[in-house]
Amino acid sequence: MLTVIIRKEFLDQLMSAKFAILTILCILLVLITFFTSKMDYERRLAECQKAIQDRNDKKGLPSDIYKVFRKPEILGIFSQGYDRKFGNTLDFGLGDAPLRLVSYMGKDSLQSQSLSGFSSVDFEFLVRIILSLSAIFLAYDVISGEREAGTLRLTLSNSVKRSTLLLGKFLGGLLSLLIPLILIYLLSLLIASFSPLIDFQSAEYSRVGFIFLLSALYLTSFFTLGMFLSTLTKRSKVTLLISLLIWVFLLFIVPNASFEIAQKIKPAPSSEMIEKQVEAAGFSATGKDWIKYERKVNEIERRLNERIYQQIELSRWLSSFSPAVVYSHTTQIFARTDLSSYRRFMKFIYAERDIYDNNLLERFRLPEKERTKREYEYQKQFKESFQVPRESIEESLNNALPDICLLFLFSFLFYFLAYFFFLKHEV
Amino acid sequence: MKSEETRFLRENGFFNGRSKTMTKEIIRRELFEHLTSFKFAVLMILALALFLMNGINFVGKYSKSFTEYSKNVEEHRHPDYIVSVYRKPNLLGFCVDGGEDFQPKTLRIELSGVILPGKFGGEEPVLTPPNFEKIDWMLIVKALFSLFAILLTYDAISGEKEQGTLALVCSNSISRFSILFGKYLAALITLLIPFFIGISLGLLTLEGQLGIFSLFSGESFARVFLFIVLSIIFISFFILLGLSVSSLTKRSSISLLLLFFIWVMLLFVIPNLSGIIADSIAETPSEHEFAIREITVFLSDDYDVEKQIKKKGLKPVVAELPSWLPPEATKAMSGQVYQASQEMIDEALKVWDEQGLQFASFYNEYRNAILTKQKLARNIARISPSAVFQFAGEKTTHCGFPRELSFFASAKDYYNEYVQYISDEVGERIIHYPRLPLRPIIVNIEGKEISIQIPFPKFSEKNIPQFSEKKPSIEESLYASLSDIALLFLWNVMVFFIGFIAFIRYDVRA
Repeated sequence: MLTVIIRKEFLDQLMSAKFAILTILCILLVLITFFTSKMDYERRLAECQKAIQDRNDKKGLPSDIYKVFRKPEILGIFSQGYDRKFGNTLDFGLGDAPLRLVSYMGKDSLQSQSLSGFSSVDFEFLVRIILSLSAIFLAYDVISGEREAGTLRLTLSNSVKRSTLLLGKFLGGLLSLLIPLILIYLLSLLIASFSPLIDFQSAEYSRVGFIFLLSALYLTSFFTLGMFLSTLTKRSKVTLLISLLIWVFLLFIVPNASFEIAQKIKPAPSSEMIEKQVEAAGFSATGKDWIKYERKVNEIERRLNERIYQQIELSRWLSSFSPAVVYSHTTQIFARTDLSSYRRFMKFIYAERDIYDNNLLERFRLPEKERTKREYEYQKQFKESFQVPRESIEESLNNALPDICLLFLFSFLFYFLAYFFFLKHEV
Repeated sequence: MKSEETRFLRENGFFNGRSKTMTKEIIRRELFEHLTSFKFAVLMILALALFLMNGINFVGKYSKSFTEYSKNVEEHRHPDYIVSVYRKPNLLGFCVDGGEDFQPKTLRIELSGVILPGKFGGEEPVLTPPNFEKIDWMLIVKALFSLFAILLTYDAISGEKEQGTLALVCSNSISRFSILFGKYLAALITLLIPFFIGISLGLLTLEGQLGIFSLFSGESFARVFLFIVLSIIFISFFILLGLSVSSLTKRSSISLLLLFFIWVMLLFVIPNLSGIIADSIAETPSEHEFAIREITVFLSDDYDVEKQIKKKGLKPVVAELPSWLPPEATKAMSGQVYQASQEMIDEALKVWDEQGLQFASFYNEYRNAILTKQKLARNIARISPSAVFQFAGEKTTHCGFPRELSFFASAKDYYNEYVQYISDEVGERIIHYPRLPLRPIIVNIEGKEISIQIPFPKFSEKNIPQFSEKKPSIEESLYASLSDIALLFLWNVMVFFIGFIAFIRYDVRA
């Protein structure tokens, strides 16, 4: 019986006009957005490679051999996250406190601000907004629609359990929803594979696989939400309206409002306060004192950055009842474009910098000749082997685990609620 | 008999009068239906909550940035080689924010003519979550009211057809235009009620906590009024869009689906994609190329003072020793201590002057490249009426990108004024110093280390020009936004015609 219901539900959805419209729109959008993000990734990657090349050819200032570059994330084409928000390079050498990533033009850059009003449109965006909307459109009339058509009574007059009917409708609807998801997923992989610069390793494939699973899970939570609302109301039109309002609330109002609230709860210190603290650190341009000064300034900056991270984390925590926020955070983790991978990057830089400083202090005690030799050795080692380790898949999975659980929880909760209200539903 | 019949018909409102009362009747009925609906209640609550939140947030932000601004201005009145100018916090920021946090609050003007954002040449980074947009009136209208315009109108035609009431309405002696117009007007009035209540609530919050009316000039009121007019045109576009799509489809659920996709496309996809597209297709050198070019200017032999002096074969002169030195020291040191000759100083100044000018032209080029990209992105985004609305709002309230441009332009004017002041009042020769060598530099000539110091002009604090940011008058703002307003209007007309034609050809039978 279950298979019959699933088949009927699946075919019903496939044959509907809304399904055709949804699929065509998804294909169109994925073509536009994926080509643009691919183009953008290739441009940024080429720029980064050129910069590394120029550094190794010693085209810059003498101190530029200590430049560290951050390559654009390859999976940013799936989930852009913070990838374009952070800079691309930082100075590691003496005289440059590596506080944060800046653009190639350094702190003076106008670039980082110039296109900030425009955020990204990527695979994650398509799933988060377009496909979740589709989930609601496919789910809103599963119960209330049949009730209006009068077929619900007929079905239940057979020897079908309500739980079976609900499960069948759930699975059938989900299957039909997975078709556009699989379609855009395969299309984006296909477009990515055409690019000579994009070269997925097996680790990347598993990450992309996780992003796919997450997307499916996210869509499930919205589909079950739609089903739940469908059992709650008597008319499908009302279901649709309420679902859409909830959708807008969860997707747009919650993330924006929560950040503004987080800014109010945990305000960042003003730039004036920072300036005063920096002044108090006591500037000195000579050797050892410089290192001390630099460490103090670093500390101040790190504290400020920590505060901003806390703000963002708080806003994420405040809005974690929205599946959309949870979903976009988890995909960012798997694409390594979330805030924590950036923090990881900077943490490594700070630690290396401490080692470098200690090394330098030690070198000051050495005679001149020995010192230059050591410096040269360090330079060579830096050029050849300095590399910021990246998160492994296990670490990403570990980071994402609470959020994945949350997504599961949403689906279970909504399904359970749907079941509960369907049992009490008057047909 | 015939005249009696005519009189009867006329009395009962047929002929010209009938249509008018019918339109009124439709408006009344629609209005009643909308105002008693669940969606209206939701819209009302959401709108009031968001307007209130905007007001409270703005008060905190504005007073904080205003104290910071006035302190900065007070502290940096003194003339110097590098002057900083500050951007006054935008009083109309609650209305249209325009990404103010991402634009430079401070500009650093160097005597070479290099103008850079940030007090120390770099602004603090602003980190916000991706996809975050500040909740200002603009966003409330752009997202919330457009959404409810759709929700109010998606079933205006197709829904009535489904219910079978459309055929009944059309069977009366009423033109289809009147039906459409009645529905349009009713939806507009329904949306404007929470809009105006929300605005009043927002203004009252601002007045209560900040006393904004005393800070407002007549012009500010006019700008807010212009924003309200723009919002009405924008909301009207979405109502017409909803009616059009509703008359193009037969089922209300399909029309809602289509409308939602159009809404997402216009509000999120097109404006957001335009940034990446412009970044990729703009034919400007990449950021890294500029960085390399900057270093080339910096390291060029032409601007190396030591090399240039050596090349010209300039020699230092024996220094006159100060009289306070003990005589033994004077005796021991005479003929041993050298100082820079006048020619050397002149040469150094010439080199620095040239390098400074070179830097200034380099930075101008860099800035222009970025502006090209930004303008391209905005032009691509203009495909979407919501972006057009955003840009028109930025122009009428003078914030965001247009303000950034005029802030830079004012800084440039101020630079000219400042340079003029130094050469006129102080009578110093203006040297376009490059950015770094304000400290003395040491050149090594024939084994002698000679220090060269830039002579510091003496500034008097009297008559020093003060920076004032030029603000376009309201007429100029209106004139600048005219093309965007016209575009928005054109969208309205276009969508209306599509809807009207579709409705005339509509099969009203259920």
